[in-house]
Amino acid sequence: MTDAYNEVHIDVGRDFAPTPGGRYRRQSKWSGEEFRETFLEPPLREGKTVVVDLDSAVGFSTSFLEEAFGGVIRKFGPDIKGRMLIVANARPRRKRQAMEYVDRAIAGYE
Amino acid sequence: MLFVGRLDLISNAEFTRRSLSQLDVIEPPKRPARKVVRIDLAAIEEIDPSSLLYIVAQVDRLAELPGISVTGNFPRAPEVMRFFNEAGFLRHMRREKMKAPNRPTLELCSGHTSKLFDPEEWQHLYAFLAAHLPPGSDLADTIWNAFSECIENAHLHAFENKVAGGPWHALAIRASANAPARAVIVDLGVGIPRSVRLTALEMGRVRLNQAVRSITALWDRALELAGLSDQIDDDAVTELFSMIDTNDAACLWLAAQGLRTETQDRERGTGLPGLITAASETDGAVHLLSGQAAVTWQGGRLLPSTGRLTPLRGTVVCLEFTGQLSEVATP
Repeated sequence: MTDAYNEVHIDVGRDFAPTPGGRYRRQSKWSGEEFRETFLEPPLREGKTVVVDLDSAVGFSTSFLEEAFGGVIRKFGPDIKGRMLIVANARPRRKRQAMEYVDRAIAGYE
Repeated sequence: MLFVGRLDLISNAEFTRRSLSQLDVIEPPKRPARKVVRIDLAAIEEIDPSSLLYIVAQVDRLAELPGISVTGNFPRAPEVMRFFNEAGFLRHMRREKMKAPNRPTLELCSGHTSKLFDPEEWQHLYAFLAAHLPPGSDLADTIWNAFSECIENAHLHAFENKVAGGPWHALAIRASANAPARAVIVDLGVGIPRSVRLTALEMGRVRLNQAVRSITALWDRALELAGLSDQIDDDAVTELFSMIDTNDAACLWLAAQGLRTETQDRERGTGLPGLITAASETDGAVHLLSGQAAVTWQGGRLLPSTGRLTPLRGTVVCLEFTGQLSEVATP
């Protein structure tokens, strides 16, 4: 994880786990909830932008992606989307999936 | 307990289910008596990966029952015997730790839902299939998702007593000259129809539908809850429900669309829909077997239902990956 200026870069496979798990801590090792609470929320609370690179992990379950990225929207509100950049240049499908959960969470946000 | 002929849970469903259901009815003897269960596999002529894994899971279950010893023989047909050998079946019957590295055609592993969900447990299955993919292929993600979603579903929904939990089994088999690469995940839990959430109103509607053979009301309710009422035309609805002709099949379909999960959380139920989408993007197939039903999505399309079948314990998910995986000369 690199922290420069007002931007934090997170490589999920390198910084968190090569094999990310399921949704919640109580059910899974390397869960989406753990990733969100440990890596995404602290810099976002400090007003920083996070750049999350999904390329290097072996794979992602949909529940991990939903809890990590959809969970951020549910917690911080739709406006946080502008400070959460998702990158997956080698695996564009991962980015599409993650963004889908972000958009769904925004649509369901009350 | 005799198994004969062609066992294939996908293409020879009813015959295979009747045959495999012999394993369901065995109960532990009254103490201090002991019971020997002999599994006679000699006359099996063909077997598909789903049936093989189901037998492995059942042998595992029986061996855990108090007072039961499991014994048996191997199929005489050379190709079937090789298949069982590569699955490490003999060691499995002897209750030795399952490890079968460097098998030519398949990899098998098992885990228990009482432990935390941990993808490292089955990473070697993914690696086994992904080794034959072009670098950077999206199919690798599809395979990863397949194992991940199904095993996570087993953790979350398969067993009523979640603390005690139960085992899951997973198998990866490479593509061969006459069959695609496949991933199979089996649990012997309560099954999807018993684990999806149905409201009391819907239960009433299901019973009514049984009587009048009309499932339209359930469908309308599902669309209303999903906010899709305006997006699907009536002809498509009629066609769909002509395919889904049992309640169990409807439950499988609803679960696979993410319209029903065990909980009411809006964000839940992402697993099976994601799997079907991913499989359709790679022109693969998803077979979902549970209760009295089996439903199949081929290239993203729901195929006609096979009707009411002999009940199957737990859930079997079989995914077929076509196209980009390289072949090996195997059965």
